Amino acid sequence: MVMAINFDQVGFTYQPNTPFATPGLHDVSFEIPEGKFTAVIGHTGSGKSTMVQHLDGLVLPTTGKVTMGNQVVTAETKLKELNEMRAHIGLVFQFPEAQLFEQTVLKDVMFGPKNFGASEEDAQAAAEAALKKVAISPDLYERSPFELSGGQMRRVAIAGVIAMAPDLLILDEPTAGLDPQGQRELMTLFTDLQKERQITVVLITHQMEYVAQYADHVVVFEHGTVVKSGAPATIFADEEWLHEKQLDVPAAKQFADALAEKGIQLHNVLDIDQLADQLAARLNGEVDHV
Amino acid sequence: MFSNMIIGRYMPGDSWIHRLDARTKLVLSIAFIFVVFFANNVIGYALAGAFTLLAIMMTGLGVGVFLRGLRPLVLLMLITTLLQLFFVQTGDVLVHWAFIKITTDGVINSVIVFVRFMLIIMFSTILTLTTQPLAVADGMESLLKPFKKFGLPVSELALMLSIALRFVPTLMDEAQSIMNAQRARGVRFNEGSLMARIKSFVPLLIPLFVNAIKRAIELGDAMEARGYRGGDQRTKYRVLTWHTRDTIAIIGFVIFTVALIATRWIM
Amino acid sequence: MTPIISLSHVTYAYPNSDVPALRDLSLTINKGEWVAIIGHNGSGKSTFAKLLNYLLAPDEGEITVNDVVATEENMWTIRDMVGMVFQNPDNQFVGATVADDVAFGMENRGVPRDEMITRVDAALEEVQMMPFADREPARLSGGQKQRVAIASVLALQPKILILDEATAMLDPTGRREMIALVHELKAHMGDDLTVISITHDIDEAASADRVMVINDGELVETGLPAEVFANADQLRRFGLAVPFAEQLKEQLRLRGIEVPNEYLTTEGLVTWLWQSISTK
Repeated sequence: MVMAINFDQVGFTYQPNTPFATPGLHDVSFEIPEGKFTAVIGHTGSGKSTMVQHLDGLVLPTTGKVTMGNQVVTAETKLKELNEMRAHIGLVFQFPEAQLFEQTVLKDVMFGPKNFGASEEDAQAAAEAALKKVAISPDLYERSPFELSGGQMRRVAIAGVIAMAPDLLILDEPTAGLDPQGQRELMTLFTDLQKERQITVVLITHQMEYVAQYADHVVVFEHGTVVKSGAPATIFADEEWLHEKQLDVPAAKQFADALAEKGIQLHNVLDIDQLADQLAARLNGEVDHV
Repeated sequence: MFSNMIIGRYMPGDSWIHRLDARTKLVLSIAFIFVVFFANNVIGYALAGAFTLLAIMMTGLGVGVFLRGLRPLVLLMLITTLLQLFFVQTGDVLVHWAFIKITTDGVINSVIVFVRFMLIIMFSTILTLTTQPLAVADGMESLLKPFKKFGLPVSELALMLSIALRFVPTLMDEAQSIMNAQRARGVRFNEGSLMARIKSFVPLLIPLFVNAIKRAIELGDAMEARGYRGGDQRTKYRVLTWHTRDTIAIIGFVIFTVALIATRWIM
Repeated sequence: MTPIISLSHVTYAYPNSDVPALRDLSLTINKGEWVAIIGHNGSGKSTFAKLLNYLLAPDEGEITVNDVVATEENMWTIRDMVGMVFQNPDNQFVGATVADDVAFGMENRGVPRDEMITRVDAALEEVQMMPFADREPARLSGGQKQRVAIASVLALQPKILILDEATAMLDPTGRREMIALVHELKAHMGDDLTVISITHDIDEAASADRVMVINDGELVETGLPAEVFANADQLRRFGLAVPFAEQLKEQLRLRGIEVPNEYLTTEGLVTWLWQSISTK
C-alpha cells in the first residue's frame, strides 16, 4: 500500500459549536514522503499531537483534507473507511504501556491483528514475531503484562503495534521516561524496522539528536501550524531561526558552532560521525579545501 | 465523547452570580427545589420562571448555554411527562383509544411536571456553571460542619471530594488517550450490538482502572511525604468569606418565596 | 563538612520480591551538598529516595538524617526535614489550585492561616509561579507543575530536597528550567539546602557537586562529575548516558587521534581541539 501523506489546508477545532471550542490546527499543509523517516518537532502544545491524531483518523479535520495513499480524509469521511485505513497504520502513543489490558502478554500483542481480521494462528504468529523484535523472551508470553518492569511493558505495548504490520508507523515520543540504554535500544529497533520493511515512519520528538541521526525529513510545528519543513541539514542550518523558535540544536552541531567561533570551520555537521571524521582529518594535518 | 456535556461544567466568568459565595448558591439551589412546589397556578409558575430567567441573565453566560445543557436530559423529561399523561386518570376524558385514556388532569399534571423539571434543572445549572467545583466542595464542607459532632468525618470527606474533583480532568484526558490508543489497535467504540459495545469498553476500563490505582498509590506517597496524617490538628488555607451580595441574594430569594406563596391566593 | 545524611549497611527488599532492591548500602551526604544519584531504571535509585523520607523502612542497617535516626517514632520529624519531588507531575498535585497545593503541607502541620499565606506567596515567588497562584493543575504545563511541587516543598522549609527523577517527564525546556531553578535555590540558600537529585539527565548530574552511581542495588561508584563521566565504558555498562564530549573523544580515538585521558567538558574539548588544530 502506498503511504505518501499530504495535508492540504487542514484546520481543526476542539469541541466545535460549543462554548468550549478551541482551535487546534490551522492552515496546515505539508507532505510526509513515503518510505522515509520523518521527524516532527515543535513545542509542547504546538499542534504536533493533534496532527498525529489526523494521521490515524482518530479525529477528522474540521476544514481541509488529508490524503493518505488513495484515501482522502475530510470532515465527512465515514467511520467504515477510517477503520479500513487504520488497519495499515500503527500508532505508538506517549507512554504506550497505558494501553495494556489483556490477561497475558501474548494476548495483548494479538489484540490489534485480531481486531483487523487476522485469524487466531496468524495473529499469534505476528505477535510472536513482534515480541521477538522487541526482545521479550518467550517465557514472558503467558505472564500478565502488569507483572513486567516498566521497560518491558513499554516494549510489549510497542510489539502490539508492530504486530499489525503497519505501512505507516507513527511514534509519539516513544522513548519518554526510559533510561538511556532503553532509549537507545528502542530507537535502534525503529530504524531497523523502517529499513527492513521500507515503511513510512513519523517520529514526534523533542530530542534533536534523534532528528539529526535518523530523520530524512523534518516538519516543524508552531502555534498550531507548520512553519517549516525540509531535510535536517536545511532545518538546522538557520541557527537564528531555531533560536527564535526556542528549538534545540543537535549536540554535534552545537559543538561545531563552538569550534566555528574559535575560527575552525567545519561543513554540514549534524551527527557525531560527521564531526569526528572532519576533526580527525584536520588533526591529521589534512588541509580542508572545501 | 466527553465534549458535549455542559451540565455540571464550570464556565469561568465574573458576574455577580459567579462571585456569590458557594454556600449561598448551594442553599438557594436546594431551597428552590422545594419553593417551586408553592406555585399552584399560572401566575405562580410565571413568577418562578421569571425569577429563574433573571438569575440566568445575571450569569452573563447567555440562555443558549443553559438550553444546550438541557439536551442530555430531554429523554428523561419526556418519559416523566408522558408517565403523568398516561397515569393520571381523573378529570374529563379527552382521548380514549384502546387502552389509552388521556384526561384533562393528566394533561395539566404533565405540563406542571414538565415546567417544574425545567425550572429546577435550569436553576441547579446556575450553580454548576458559575461555581468552581472546588468551591462547591468547600461550601458543602462548611455547611456540613455541624455534623462533625456526630462523628461524620467532614474534613476527610471534603479532602477526598476535592482530590476527586482535581483528578477529573486528568482522568478524562487519560480515558481519551487510552481510547485513542485502542481505536488505533482496531477497537470500535459505539459500534455494533449492545454486547459488542459493552465488550469494546473492556480495553478502556481495565487500563484506566490500573492506571488510576497507580496514580492513587503515588499520590498517597506524595501526600505522606508532605506530612499528611489526617486528624483535627490540620489548619485550612482556603476560607469562605460572606459578602453583602450574599445577604442581598438571600433577601431577594426570600422575597421571591413570599411572592410565590402569595400567588396561591390570587386565583 | 558535617554529614547530614548517613546510611550504614542499609538493605531493603520489596515485600513481593526475593531480590533486595538495595543491598548493604553505606554512604554519607554532607550538609549543603548537591549529590546526583544515577543508575538505570530498576537499579534501586528511587527506593533509596523513599528510604530517606521514611516512605519505606529499611530491613537492615541504619539511616540518620540530621542526627535523627529514621524510625517509625521519628518519621514525622524526618519528613519535616526531607522534602521530596516525584517523577509524575500529575500524581503529586494534591491541591485544587497552585496556591492550595503549596499550602497542603502546611495545613497538615497545623500552620496558622496568616503564616500560611505569607509562606505560600514566598514559595511561589521563589519558583516564579506567583502569576499562576489561582490556576488549576489541568491548565499548567508539566514543567510548571514540577515548579509548584518544588514550591510546596520549600514552603515547609526543609533541610534536604530530594528530586526523584523530577525532570524525567518534562520536555527539554521544562528540564532546563528546573535545573536552572535548583541552581538558583542553591545559590541563595547555600548550605541550608542539601539537594539530592536522582536522574538520567547528564546536564542535571553534571551540575551536582558529587555523583553516585547505583547499579543493581549497590553503590558502585562515587566521585566528582568529572571523575565519573570520564569513564565512558563503565557508564555504558551501567546502562547510562555518556556526555557528548566524552563520546566525541572516543570517536576521535577510534580514528587514530590521541586525545587527553582526563575528563573534558564541551568547552574544554573545544579549547583542546582549537589548540591542537592551530598548531598544525
